[in-house]
Amino acid sequence: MATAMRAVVLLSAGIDPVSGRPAPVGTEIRAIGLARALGARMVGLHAGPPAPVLREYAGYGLADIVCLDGGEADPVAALAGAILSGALFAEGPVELVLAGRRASGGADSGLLPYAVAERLGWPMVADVAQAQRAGAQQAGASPDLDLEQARPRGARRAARVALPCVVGVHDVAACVPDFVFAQARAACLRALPCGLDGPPPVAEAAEERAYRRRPRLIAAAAQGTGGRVLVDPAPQDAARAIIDHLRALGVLPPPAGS
Amino acid sequence: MALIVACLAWGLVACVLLAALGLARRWRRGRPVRVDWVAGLAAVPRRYLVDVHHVVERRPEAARMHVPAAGGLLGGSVALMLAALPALRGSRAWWAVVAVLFAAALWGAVLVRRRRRPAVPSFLSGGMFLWLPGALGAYAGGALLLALGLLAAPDGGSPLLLAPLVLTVGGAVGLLVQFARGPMRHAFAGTVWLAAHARPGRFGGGRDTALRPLDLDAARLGALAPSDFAWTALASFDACIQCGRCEQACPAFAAGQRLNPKALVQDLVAATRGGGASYSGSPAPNAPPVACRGGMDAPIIGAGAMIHPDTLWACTTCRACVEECPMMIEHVDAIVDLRRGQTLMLGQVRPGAAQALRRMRDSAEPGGRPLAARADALAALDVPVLPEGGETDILLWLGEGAFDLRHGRTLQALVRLMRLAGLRFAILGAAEPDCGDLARRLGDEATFRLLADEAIATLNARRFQRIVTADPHALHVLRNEYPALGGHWTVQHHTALLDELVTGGALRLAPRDLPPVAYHDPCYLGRYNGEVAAPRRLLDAACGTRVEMARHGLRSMCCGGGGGNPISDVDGAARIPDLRMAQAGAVGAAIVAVGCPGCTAMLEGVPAPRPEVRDIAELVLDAVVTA
Repeated sequence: MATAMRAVVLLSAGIDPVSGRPAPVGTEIRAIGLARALGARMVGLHAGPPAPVLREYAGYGLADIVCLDGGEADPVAALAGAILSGALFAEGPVELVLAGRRASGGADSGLLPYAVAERLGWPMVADVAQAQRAGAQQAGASPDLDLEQARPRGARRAARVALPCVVGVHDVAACVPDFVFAQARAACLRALPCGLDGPPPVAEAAEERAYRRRPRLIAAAAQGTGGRVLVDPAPQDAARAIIDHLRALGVLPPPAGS
Repeated sequence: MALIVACLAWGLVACVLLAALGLARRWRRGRPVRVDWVAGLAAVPRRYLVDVHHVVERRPEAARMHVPAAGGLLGGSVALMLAALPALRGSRAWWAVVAVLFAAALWGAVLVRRRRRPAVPSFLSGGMFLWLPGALGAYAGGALLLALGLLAAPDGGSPLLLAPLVLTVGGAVGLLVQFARGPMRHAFAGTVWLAAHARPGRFGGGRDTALRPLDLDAARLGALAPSDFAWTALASFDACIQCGRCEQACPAFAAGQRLNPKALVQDLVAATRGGGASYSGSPAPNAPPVACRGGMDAPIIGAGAMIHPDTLWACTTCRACVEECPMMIEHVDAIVDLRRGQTLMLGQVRPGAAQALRRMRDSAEPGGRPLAARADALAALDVPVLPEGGETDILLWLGEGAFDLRHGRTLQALVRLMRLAGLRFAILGAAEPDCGDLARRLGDEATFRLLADEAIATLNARRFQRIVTADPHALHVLRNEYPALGGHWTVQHHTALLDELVTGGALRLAPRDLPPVAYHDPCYLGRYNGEVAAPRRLLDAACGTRVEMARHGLRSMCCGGGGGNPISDVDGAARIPDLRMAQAGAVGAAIVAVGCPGCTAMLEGVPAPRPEVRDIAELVLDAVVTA
């Protein structure tokens, strides 16, 4: 058995999109579940002061949460610095970074995982619904992850990525861990200095414009295989057509023996 | 010979005390609780003779069995002990008294035997109960013969009395086994439980149904192992005599939903004794097998323990079992304690319940809906929203049901009636959070407190005379459970308000010519709050003919909607509301009147043909005479 993977889950002080109250972000909860399914050792990482809502992530099984004091000024640099510093795990460097896939509307950003991956120089895989360690590793080689990306209309796409990497977790990932109040209560929020020197980067002068609905690019969303209309088909034919369609989408595996 | 007999009785009592000590030592491994022993023990005779008897007498044959069996056994044994006094020992009259008492006990043994002959009814247990009448009969019969022999010759002993003496000793040993390891311990455990009852307010016709707040800073939350229960609760489990009334009243059991309150209590007893499967009554229906492993500090819930988790989540918290229990056992408290352990310490709830709890934590609403949408059903009626610091006469608490369009019609009817009566009222609008009832029944005390604290702060920031709600679950939480957390208001169910308006003349009703109407009592209005009269008065004034289902009032049957049962996805052989609607159909009801959004949704979910479901507010609005 290989040693447990060392994973960092990026946490945001999210808000509930319905009520606007502070709440953990669903995709980040799933990120905890995904790391747990990989049997990883986890540290939660938040750029900013310890917010009470972060305790709730502990309830979902993230016992150790590190808050980077002052990190909110330049979260990308602060997070990447902490990930590379080697201070998060005594056993070795961070191998996997997990994050949600989009902002919830609080002080978070959907761009952040990409920016962190860019800063780390690691590959980024978005919209991951499932992950497992790739089997049959050669000794010495860096381990791989077998990932499944969620695509529109229920389709899944397999991907393999070498560690270390950044993974963005999709809302459909079926790995929501149980919420345990006793764990949330016992959570330890560690504050670390973010280690940034120098002034925070000055935001580039950007123009702010009111939201305007743009025309949908229908061509981009064109159906890959189109559809078929069967009028009053025999049940066997209809079932066959559905199965073929699902196979074409990759939802069902190809028939045995093919 | 007479002295031998008296010494025998004293020896028996000494053995009983020894066995009782064993029981007590087991209970003391439970959580300590403060007990007012002086007041408790002083109240035992009254609690036993009045409150327990009030429940027992619902089945007169049980009462007729218990009086000679228990009275004869106890009275006869005490009389035998008193025969140690030389004056009594030599008195023929005294032996006549002993003979009469044991004759009664013997008759009791015959009646005990008859309960399980020719076949053991499904709601009763077999096992040790099968030879209990034998042991009781041997002891009572032997002692009767001894007493008759001594009545003939008080100062002498005939060798002929040796045979009844052996019979008496044999019966006494049997009774001791029944006491130490069997159901007869209920005599001692029941007395202790009556003295140290967790809800003394229930005695003397009172009502105490609010769940107790949980100290969220305690190291262990809820009950995971038997030692997490209050020791008095452990005593209450030993007090169970397996009469099966809870089983017959339980809606989950009737629907085959993996819960049998009687089996649950016996499994808890077995858990305190280290496991094993000695229980011989009906099991929890369709429950998957468990390993039957237990222990004072071992987990209770789980396939590898004593009780399957499905059993826990099937409970609707309707309190029907509690209402029927002659030993006044608090089954719902035990289930909520177990649920608190599973939820707060392990996070082990059903997926549907986990989602509802997450939404309550995040959005203050179990459906994850925007709080501002709660009043959408009343949009056309323009009900004022009470701002912070505002003042009104009646605050209308809408509750979770308001999101449902069906219950929205009920609320519209209620608002129209309140307008007709000229009342000044308002709603909280988007400031009304969920009251937390669902979270609390699912054992998530932390989420309940989150919501309760917000609701109490919201209500305390506004001024009003009273709160009116059409949701009995919210009524119960606001009226009975918030006071422990700092919320004290007058809270009224909408049927109580309407009854007040009709009785006071503010609303005039003309009874309509309707097909027969049956009223379905919501558990949280009837059993939890004792309100059964006002809805019926309203229906009598608004409808032509009213019929009663066999189970009604405080003994009504649950619709299946309480306690998080519907969102816990418990498999069953039937649906509880189907059973309830069949009962309504059986008494010829064409309309079932309801007073709870949960009951409305559950009963309207029953497929046709079925009686129509109408809220009392709707029926009253239809019958109101304007101008």
